[in-house]
Amino acid sequence: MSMKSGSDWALALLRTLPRVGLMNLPREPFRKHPRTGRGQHGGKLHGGPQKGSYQRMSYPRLGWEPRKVPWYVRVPMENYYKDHHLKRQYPPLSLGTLQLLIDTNRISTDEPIDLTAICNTKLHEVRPQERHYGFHLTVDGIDTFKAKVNIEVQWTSEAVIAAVEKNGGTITTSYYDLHSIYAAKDPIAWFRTGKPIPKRMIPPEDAIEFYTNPKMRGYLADPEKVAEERLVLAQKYGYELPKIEEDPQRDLLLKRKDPRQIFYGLEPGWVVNLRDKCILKPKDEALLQYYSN
Amino acid sequence: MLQNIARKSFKFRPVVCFKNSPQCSILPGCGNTEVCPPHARNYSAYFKSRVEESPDKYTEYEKSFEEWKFVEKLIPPTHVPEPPRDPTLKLPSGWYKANPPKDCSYNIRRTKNHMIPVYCQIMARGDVRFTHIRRVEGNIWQLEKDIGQWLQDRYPLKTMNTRTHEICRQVIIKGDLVDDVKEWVTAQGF
Repeated sequence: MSMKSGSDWALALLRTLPRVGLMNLPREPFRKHPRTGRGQHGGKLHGGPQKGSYQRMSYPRLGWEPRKVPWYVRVPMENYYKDHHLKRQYPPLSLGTLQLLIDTNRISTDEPIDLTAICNTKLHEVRPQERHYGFHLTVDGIDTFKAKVNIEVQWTSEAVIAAVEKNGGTITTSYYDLHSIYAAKDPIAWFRTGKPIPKRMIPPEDAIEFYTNPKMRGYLADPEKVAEERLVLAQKYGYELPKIEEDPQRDLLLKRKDPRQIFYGLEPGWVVNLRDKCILKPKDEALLQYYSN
Repeated sequence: MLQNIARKSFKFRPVVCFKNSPQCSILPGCGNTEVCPPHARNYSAYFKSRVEESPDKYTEYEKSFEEWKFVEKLIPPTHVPEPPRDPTLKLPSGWYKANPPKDCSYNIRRTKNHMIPVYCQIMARGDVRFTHIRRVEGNIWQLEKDIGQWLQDRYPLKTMNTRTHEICRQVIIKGDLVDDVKEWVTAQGF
């Protein structure tokens, strides 16, 4: 390759440059901390006063640090809010509110209730930009909850699970990564951008225990263990467990999403064409392998 | 030699290119990493450039109309759904269709979401609280008298301060009495 102009040289240089990474990022050039003088270069007082203890030839008290609050006076630091901006947030949705939404025909119990169904009421929202990872179904209004639903939430407690299953419904806790939340909270806006439906990622390390726990009805738990835990919970709270197998709404109550799936009936990797009302499915082997994995 | 230049240039900071900088020879954004000549760097040329490439650059796909029914379920309703119409229907959540008394000189209308318009206004970090009854129609002073008397009977040791805001059609009560007022409003049937 012949180097003709300066831009060619610059481009050739760019090709040889390493990629920017954590390993090759240099430190920010900042001013060095002024080192206290040693010996004859100001090492006599170490920032202390000329008078006082020095003049009286008594050494500074134990624990004295120049230009600093001593360590025994400093306010102890309790990092209660450390990394709070990185933690997963689950905005609450109470059982009473859910019952109200169902009673006022905001949510249909003929379909499985998930994040998209709750967000489509336009009364409750998740903001992924504020690290909202979905809804937390709370116990408020547990005494008046009478609906029989197949609901999928992102966080819940044991009493809520008992309340839902007592009425003959089913509940699942499932994880959505933030990228999937963007698609799930407003699917039509997502389809309008022309992007394919994303693949739902598996939970992070600190959440995988919750989502594989059959007691919490995790979506990655073994279904047989979940069925066993349903019976255990019914005995613990003292109610008779309704039999789902003999229920006329059996298909509805046992409807579950694939761990990679965001919407019922639609698979990741598909592109929805809203104008022609059709769905474009990729045929490429690499894409199929990526989205099916 | 290039390696040496690379090492020297990375001694301090990585080079950052901005879209406006004249040194930038790579068009940023949208995954477009093609190197463009300088005359293509201005905005008009950038936005006039073709969005779509020729079809042979894309992977194959197939069209399907069967799954559209699943997309239809994801479309949110454009209007607020109609709630149950029967006023005698008792729902577990306590919601009921408004059935105001005929001989009453005032009325409290429901909101567009079919809820009772009673709200708490919090001021001064929670030290000052007011209860607002909004959407009052008719004789607003009669409502103020009725609700004030009922609250006074319920809390005889407290002084109930009520006032009306005729222009905004509100009755304002001092204190956080949302639950009590909602109880009275539901008992009246508004």
